[in-house]
Amino acid sequence: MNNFIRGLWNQHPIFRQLLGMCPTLAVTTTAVNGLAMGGAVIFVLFFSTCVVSIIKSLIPAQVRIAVYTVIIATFVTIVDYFFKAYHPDISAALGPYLPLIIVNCIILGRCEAFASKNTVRASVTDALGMGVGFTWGLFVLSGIREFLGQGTLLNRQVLPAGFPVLGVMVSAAGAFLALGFLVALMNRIEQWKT
Amino acid sequence: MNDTLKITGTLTVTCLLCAFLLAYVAGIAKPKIAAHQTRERRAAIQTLIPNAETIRPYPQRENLFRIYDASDTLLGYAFLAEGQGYAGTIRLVGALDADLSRLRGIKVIESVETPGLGSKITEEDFRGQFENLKVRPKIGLTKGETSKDTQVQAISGATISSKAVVSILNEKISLIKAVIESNRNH
Repeated sequence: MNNFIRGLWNQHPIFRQLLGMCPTLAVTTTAVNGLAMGGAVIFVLFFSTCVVSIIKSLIPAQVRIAVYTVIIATFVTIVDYFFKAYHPDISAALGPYLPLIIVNCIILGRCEAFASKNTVRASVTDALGMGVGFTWGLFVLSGIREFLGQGTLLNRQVLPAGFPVLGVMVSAAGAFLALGFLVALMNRIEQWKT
Repeated sequence: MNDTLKITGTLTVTCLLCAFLLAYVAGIAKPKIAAHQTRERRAAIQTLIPNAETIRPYPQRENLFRIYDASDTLLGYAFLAEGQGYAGTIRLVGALDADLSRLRGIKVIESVETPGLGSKITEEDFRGQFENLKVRPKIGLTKGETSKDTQVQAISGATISSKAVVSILNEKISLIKAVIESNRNH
């Protein structure tokens, strides 16, 4: 259970470990994009760590990173095909960031730091925790950006039409601003707890 | 020696297994992806030429199509063109009259121009200017009021994006003209 909880808060991949910043900043323009990216990462994390923890004793240490990368790339390509074949609109919105999950350090990080030393059960629990943590992080970040930048949430109009929106929130600068405030908020909450 | 074998073996087996798995997945996904692309292209062409019925690829040319109506009369040509915009690649679909003198319209299908400025190339105000626009000798761009029937007005604050669209079109149209005219003469 601890393996799962850890990724949700204490070792949150975005707000605590500051990993996977590239997709975090790039695709969080709308909440739907954030959720789709999160879902893709959960899938890849789950299967990659599962396979890595099963075959960990068979892989020579010298080439383990290369083997992990091939395994991760395989699952990422499957996700990429899936979105292209069944959700071409989301695939178009995520653009190159979907195939770029291959180099997302959260996944290689969990394979190397956890799955290669732990049982299958512990590894997939850890992967799910990290994946769900990453997803809620993306969802909150993209929700804030979509709300402030376009006045919508999950593509539904929530602010009255004509309400002034902050165009900057949709651009890259808005991503940095929102992320900065969220990381600060997380740190503040941690300080209150102690 | 043993180590070398083990390392090579592990990598070979891993890559082979992954390649088989991916080949299998690709076999399922590829036809679906191709169908999406065809449907998307068809929808885009039909927004430009509403009575388009049959779309046939131009012989030996990628991204160029002949468009016919229900009674098999040639309505014009549709094309896919792309080029560098301000922020990244702009991809668009366009349609030309059968005599290549006017554009029926354009539709930007992919762009990453600055939101709020260059992104307006996808909006009606800019896009609409290309409907029934004369393209001979070439499309011009102006920052003021348009004075010729081959001119479109640039988006204020996004001159580079506007210029990019116009030059992508001019380049593609002159290429299409060359191709079609050389085929006619043979």
